[in-house]
Amino acid sequence: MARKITISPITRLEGHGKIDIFLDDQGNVSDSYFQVVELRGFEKFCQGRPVEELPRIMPKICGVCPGAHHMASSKAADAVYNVTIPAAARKLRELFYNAHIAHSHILHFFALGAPDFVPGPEADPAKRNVIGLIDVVGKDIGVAVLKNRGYAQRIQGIIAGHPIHPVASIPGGLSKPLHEAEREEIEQMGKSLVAFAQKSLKIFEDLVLANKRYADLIMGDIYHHETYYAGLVDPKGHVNFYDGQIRVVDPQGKEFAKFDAADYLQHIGEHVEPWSYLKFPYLTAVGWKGLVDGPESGVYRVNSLARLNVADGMATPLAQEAYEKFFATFGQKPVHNTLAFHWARLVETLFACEEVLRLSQDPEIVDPRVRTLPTEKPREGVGVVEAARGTLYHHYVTDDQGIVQKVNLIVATVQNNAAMGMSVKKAAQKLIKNGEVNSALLDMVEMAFRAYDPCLACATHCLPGQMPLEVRLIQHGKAVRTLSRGIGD
Amino acid sequence: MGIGSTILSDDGIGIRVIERLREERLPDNVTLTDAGTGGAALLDMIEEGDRLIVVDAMQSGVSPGTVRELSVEELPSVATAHLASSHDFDLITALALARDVLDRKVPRDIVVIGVEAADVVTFAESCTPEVTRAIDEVVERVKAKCL
Repeated sequence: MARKITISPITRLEGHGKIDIFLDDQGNVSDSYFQVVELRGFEKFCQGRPVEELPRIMPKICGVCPGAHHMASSKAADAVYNVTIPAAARKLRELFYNAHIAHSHILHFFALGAPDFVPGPEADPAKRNVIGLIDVVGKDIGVAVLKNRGYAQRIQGIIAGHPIHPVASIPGGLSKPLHEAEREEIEQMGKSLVAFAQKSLKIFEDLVLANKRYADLIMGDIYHHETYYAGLVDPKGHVNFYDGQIRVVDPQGKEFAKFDAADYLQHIGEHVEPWSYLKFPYLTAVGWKGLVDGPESGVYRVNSLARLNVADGMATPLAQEAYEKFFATFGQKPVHNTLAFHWARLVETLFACEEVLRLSQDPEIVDPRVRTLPTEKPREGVGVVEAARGTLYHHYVTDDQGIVQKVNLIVATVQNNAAMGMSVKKAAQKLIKNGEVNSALLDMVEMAFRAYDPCLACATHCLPGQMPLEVRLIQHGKAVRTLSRGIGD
Repeated sequence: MGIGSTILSDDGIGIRVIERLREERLPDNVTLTDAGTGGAALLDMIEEGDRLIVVDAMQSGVSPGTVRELSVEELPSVATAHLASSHDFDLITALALARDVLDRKVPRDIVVIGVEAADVVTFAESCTPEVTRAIDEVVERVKAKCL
């Protein structure tokens, strides 16, 4: 007999991931649900504003990826006005944006992802953070991490007006060009960034891949789902964060679809479950079959691993080498191992840093013509970028004065919503048997989460990107055990 | 330093306080910083100095608009919106990294002023009335600590 389960909303802490794991009578996992709090009134908040305000407001959605929202919003506003930005503006936006990606990936890997491996799951929880990591890898690397992360942040600030409140990208281009002195400074920082990105890959190899236990975890079965994948590719089929077409490949790696941002609604549907505020995007051509993977299920994944899986290669030489090594190690493409997101992120970091250097050395980057004044009547537009965490869509509808009537966002993390739920359930099923909960459960569940690098901020349309987590084990309708972390402890 | 999101009602109280402080006459040795939603960016924004005063929203179960002063040690047990998380990059981590890894002379005397929020989940560019009323009190406390 089906039992109706009501999950009470979280009243206290927003940005809080809540996982309910349901146990059957034998104490084995029958199901699990991943929940986040909903934030209210987003669409209403945007309506009535001039569309050109949105590139300034949208970055405030997320303290972790303001750059991504700044870009997607500007591109959507460009599309609303049907304006083509000048070539120099495109390069300058790309320079800004690759610096943003580099910053985000460096931060994620060293502050969030790597501590899962170094010092690792057995370490004192108080040490399982960037400080504990630096204790292991040494101060020199710590300095390099912070210094280069700072460079990537500074580059964003130089171009967009402020490192965390980017404002310079507007409909039609940018509000200011780059000056030669700034270009030179960025070039020097770019050189440091490329070297650092290479070093990061080496650190991963030495500390994670060379460790059999971690290599087994990465290659193993707990964190493994065979889904479709989606990401932006440029005209040559290479990964591109700023622009391109959305390519989707099936679990065997065959191209399943390729479309422009403006057509996203023809390909992506959003399934709603009564127990979740977060929707479940899926491929409409395949259909929603529930939280399952495989070719018959419309579940798809985004983010670093997905981007490498859908692309034919990387546009820059060092990253291409790293890409080839990545797939050679797994011996297949697509790679379905969830923990490989971490490695893929580092390959992408190298690409982003190479782009920063390359663009800083392009003579056109200091061209003062960075704005085309829109002249057409505003109507409707979609802007898409690859945020660090996956494909990001901003869709605006305005009246003929450019006043916003409707806003739809599909953020990266929500597209991994189904996959995250599946990863949690699989980890739970492996680690909870006959009512016995392995104490590593919380760690293993978190490792799945961290690989996806979820931004609950974006997923619920706004929160600082933290991830306090509460896991409840529910049997016979009662919470028999609650494990929590980062929630008033 | 004010921390918060200015599009999420009371979550932005820290920034609103900074905006009001900019209108006040403060001694020359005082710097005001809008730190946005904090996180890793705190590393770039914590300046060298003797004292750091941070303003943030909190949700500790007291009545909205209540102002509380906390030490850094108390942070993990009081639900401030942006300052302490056992997971993510937060003020405590940023201070430790700036001091121990980057060898910066970050302030050792740190005061956190928390303002109890009524609503941090509704999109709005202003705080609720109870929290808005608390701005005056916070401003006076900050000024007293700057003299």
